[in-house]
Amino acid sequence: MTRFFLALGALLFTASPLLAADPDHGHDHNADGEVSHVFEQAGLHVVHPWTRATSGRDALIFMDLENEGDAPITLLGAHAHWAESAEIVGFALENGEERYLPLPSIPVAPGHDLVLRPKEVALRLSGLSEALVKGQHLDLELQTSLGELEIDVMVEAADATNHGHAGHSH
Amino acid sequence: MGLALTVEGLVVLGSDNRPILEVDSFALPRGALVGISGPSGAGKTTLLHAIAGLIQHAQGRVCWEEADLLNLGEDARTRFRADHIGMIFQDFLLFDELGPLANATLTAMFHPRARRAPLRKRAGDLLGQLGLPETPRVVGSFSGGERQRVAIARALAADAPILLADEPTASLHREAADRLIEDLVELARTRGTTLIAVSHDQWLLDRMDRVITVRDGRLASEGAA
Amino acid sequence: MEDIWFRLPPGIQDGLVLVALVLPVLALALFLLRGFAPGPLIAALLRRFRWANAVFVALIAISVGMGIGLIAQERGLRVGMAHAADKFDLVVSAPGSEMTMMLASVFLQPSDVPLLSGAVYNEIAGHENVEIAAPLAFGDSYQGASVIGTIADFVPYLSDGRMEGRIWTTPFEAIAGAGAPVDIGESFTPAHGHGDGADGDEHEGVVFTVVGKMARTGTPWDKAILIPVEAVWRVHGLADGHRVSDGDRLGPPFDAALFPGTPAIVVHASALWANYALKSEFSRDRETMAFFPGTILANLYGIMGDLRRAMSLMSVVTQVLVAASVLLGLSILTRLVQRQTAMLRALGAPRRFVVAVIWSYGVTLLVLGTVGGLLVGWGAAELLSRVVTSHTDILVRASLGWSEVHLAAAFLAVTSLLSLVPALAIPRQPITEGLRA
Repeated sequence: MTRFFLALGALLFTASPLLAADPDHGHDHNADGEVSHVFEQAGLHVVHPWTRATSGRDALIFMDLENEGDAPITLLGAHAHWAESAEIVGFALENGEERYLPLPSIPVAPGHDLVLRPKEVALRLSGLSEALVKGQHLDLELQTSLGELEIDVMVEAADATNHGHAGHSH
Repeated sequence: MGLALTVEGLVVLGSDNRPILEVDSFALPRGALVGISGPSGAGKTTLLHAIAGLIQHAQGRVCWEEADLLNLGEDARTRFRADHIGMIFQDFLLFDELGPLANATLTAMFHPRARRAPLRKRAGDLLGQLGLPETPRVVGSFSGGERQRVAIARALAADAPILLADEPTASLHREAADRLIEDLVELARTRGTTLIAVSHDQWLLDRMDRVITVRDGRLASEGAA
Repeated sequence: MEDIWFRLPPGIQDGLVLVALVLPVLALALFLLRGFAPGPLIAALLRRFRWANAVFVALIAISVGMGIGLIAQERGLRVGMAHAADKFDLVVSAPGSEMTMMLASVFLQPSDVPLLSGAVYNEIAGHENVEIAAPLAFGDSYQGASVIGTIADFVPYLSDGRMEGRIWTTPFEAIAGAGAPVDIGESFTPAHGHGDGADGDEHEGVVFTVVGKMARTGTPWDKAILIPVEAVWRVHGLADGHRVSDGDRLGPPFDAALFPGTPAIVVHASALWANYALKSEFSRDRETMAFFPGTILANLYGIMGDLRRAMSLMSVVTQVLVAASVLLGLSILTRLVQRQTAMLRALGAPRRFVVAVIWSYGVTLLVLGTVGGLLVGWGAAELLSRVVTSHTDILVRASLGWSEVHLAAAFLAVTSLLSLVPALAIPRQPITEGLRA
């Protein structure tokens, strides 16, 4: 009996970040009850936004931006209530040291994809108000030339190099 | 001026817990020159070590005036030795790599800073009195007699009123031993130092005020020279 | 707290880590040595056991040096490789292996790869955000040096404008890298292919004259010879990208129909952000592949990083073993001075004094060995750098950085604390036993 309660407690504990996340906008639940990982806005498809678990000050957010429309879309930045600031950053090797340098904005031509991935380009959120825990979902307001788009960012393992659905297609 | 010594009911136990030294009582006045003689293994060195407060587990009283060494704690005994007792040994126990003055001032390394300068001065004076002029040589190149003189200077540099010697002439040839005994006795007498020397050397024992003979862990006889 | 730490400049952070590593040792030294002046005694011990001491110091120096040399060398190679990729912001090629294309373009290790068409080249070269789009035509060599066809604009870009002589004006003029086997004024006939498989007769009758020489860049390109891409095509019996009516015209624009193809295009964008837009535009299934050599290298380091950690661990284990044997040796040596330490205590030296002397003696050896290790490590890294540089043409500069200093300091901190063990054992022995020993 004790064991049952312990197990139940453990389950609730591990599930709590999921329960705590506020799923009120921006994404749908599909037939399996799983949170969707594709977000759309006037020809812009945002696929698989993800980040890594961290207790540090910064987090890098990665995703695929697909411009399915017929006009260029420009990625301008992002905003999140759980971070002080957000900026687009590009990867560079400076004297062999890995750095992410701030970028102003990046246009995505119609019919093309901009892939935000580790060691290339990312959104950097600085001044995190709390630690990011694996399995958690975070709200993020993506700012593009189309306006603002609420997306949902999945927190992967601290050492992840790809999102959990890598290899799947949506 | 030397200190007077009273020993009462001293029992030193060996590793098998059997007594290896038992002394009922004896007393020495200030500035006495005393020899300890007896056959090898009789307990002479043990007696000397007990008098120096080096033996951890002993019963009875070894009193240098007010200070009962056996009933002092480890740190207090160490401090007492630093302030009051100089020792010399059969094989000198010098640091061959150092010069005579560095050896003679060895105890300055752990004495309080304020006492270092006078200690160094005294060590230099003692070396001069003992006929060892300043030299850049290290004591490794010294003769046995010269080395033991350095050891004496080291023992007395802190102005110790007590000098304990364990076979001080046993490593020296006759001529050197004689000269050393001469100097040692004169130094002790002029300074009023209480000198206790364990020795087989009759020449040395003959120059003492008094000789205590140890046999089978007991005092066999006491005699004035 | 964490915030304050992360806001500190890296130099201060590194310095503080060093202080944190050294501080316990200094505190221990201060505690043990307070009120004592055992200098001459420590000097005597150092002199007495000078041969054993020299062996201990050498053992420590070599083990610390190997660990440090390994890290310094690894970082030197990483920096050197990153430097080699500096000019290659973005490379566009036909779809295939990014690694293969990076080795071909950055490190001049070409293999047979499909070609990009003139249409693609013109699209890239004409893009508003592209400053330089240099085709690279590999395949020929001269005395082991790669002969690469490209455009004139690539030469000042690659060499930062530092060159002697001039840029080519006719198709059969060449510009040599600083380490290439030809000098200004010399002529050569390239062989088809590389190394043993090179066919020296294929290009018989084709003679290039060197008209310029680039300054050293510290990259594999120092050994290359650059020629107009038109010449490569002509030598291989192909069209040269221009109409016959254009005569000996060199460089873009090219006529897409007369463009025989290029395996890779090095792209330099007008701004950093534009690289990502360009990559996005030229990543096309079945047509073109665009990649950042820096990213490929960084991913490679990520894989090598595990190896590096394994090597570091092994070197730490080696150092710990050496330190343990040195401490064992020290405790044996200090037994040889057991009578002298007993004498010191008989003359009233406190236990702490004896501990301080023995500990300081051991720590002196450790400090000498560690400092020697930094020198050995620097020397080893320097030597390895030269070997690697001469074999790969990647300029590897070994330097001692904070991580090496931290490693040495950590070694010193741990072993200094450990050498308390033999030092503490000494005064535990009864003085009377020590004197009789």
